[in-house]
Amino acid sequence: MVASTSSEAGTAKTVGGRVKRRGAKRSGTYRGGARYSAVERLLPEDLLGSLRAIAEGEEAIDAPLAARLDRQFQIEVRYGVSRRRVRRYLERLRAAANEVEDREAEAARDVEDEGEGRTCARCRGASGGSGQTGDAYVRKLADRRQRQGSVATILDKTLGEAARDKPELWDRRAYLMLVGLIHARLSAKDVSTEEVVKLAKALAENRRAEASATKQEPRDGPGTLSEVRTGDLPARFADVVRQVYGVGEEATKRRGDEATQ
Amino acid sequence: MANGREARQIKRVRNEVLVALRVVYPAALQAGQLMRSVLPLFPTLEFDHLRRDLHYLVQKGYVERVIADFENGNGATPWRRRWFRLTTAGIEVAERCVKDPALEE
Repeated sequence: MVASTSSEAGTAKTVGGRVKRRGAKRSGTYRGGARYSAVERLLPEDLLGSLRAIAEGEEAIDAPLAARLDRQFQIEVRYGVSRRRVRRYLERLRAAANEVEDREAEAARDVEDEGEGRTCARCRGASGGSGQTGDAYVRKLADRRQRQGSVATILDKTLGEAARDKPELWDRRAYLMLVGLIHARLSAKDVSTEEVVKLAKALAENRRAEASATKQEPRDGPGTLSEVRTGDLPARFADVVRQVYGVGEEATKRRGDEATQ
Repeated sequence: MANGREARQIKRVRNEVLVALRVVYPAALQAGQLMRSVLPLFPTLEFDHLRRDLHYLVQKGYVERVIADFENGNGATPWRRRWFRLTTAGIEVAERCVKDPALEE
């Protein structure tokens, strides 16, 4: 019996229960970059899902498991692969899954290093203690780190200056309540991390603009900022000298006149 | 296991408490606010667990209770409304200047 099918992976021929493909891609990559084989591309989605679930789970890869899968999906008959090969295949899948997990944990660690000080990055392959998978925990943690960093920026830009100038505020109930309120509001679920990050950036930009405007205020004073920067004498410098030294000169002259009289 | 929790989760919660307090340092956070802050990460956390962790961190000298004005320090304030702040030792651990094996995973 020969049946042929065609898919994006290539053209397949089933000869005596065995599948042969021509033009199929030999390998590809997982989301995290780990490679998977051409064999994996041939498997139906339900079997693939089952294999991946086993690969990521705690179930031991052994001969009985391979036999169970074979009974369930008729792997040996449909694909002409031995149980031993199924087992090897499972091991490869698990290794690929671990590799992806390692990459994600590393990415989360980078995020932490940039943002907060504490780390929980050595949590790869582990749950958060609440039934969530290691991946989910790492994602949540990275999101939380980003959010906390932005909350810290917002708090610093809004209340930081006052807090630094007045340490007596640190124990004032009103100040503590205000900080707590801002923190609770920004850490709440109804505000997304993206919004908090945007707010922090906008606030930082605003403060920067204010600071630069404050620096340029002395324009009405003795000299402009550019004059100070270039070292040029300000336009009103002569007036200033006259005011300072002229008064002194007049006073000296007056004292001299008084002495001669 | 302690109080029905894994050691790993206990360490994580304690670390997250330090992170949250570091964000607002030198201000403080109420225990209730801390609880709400770490809940998205640990959905099954109970307040009693957090209270134990806070007590541990206070005993360890990483966190101190802040008694704000208008608040008497005789223990009448409910735990959820008590303010906690990082100490100097706590900020060193939170910023990873000092390593504490008891908090490392």
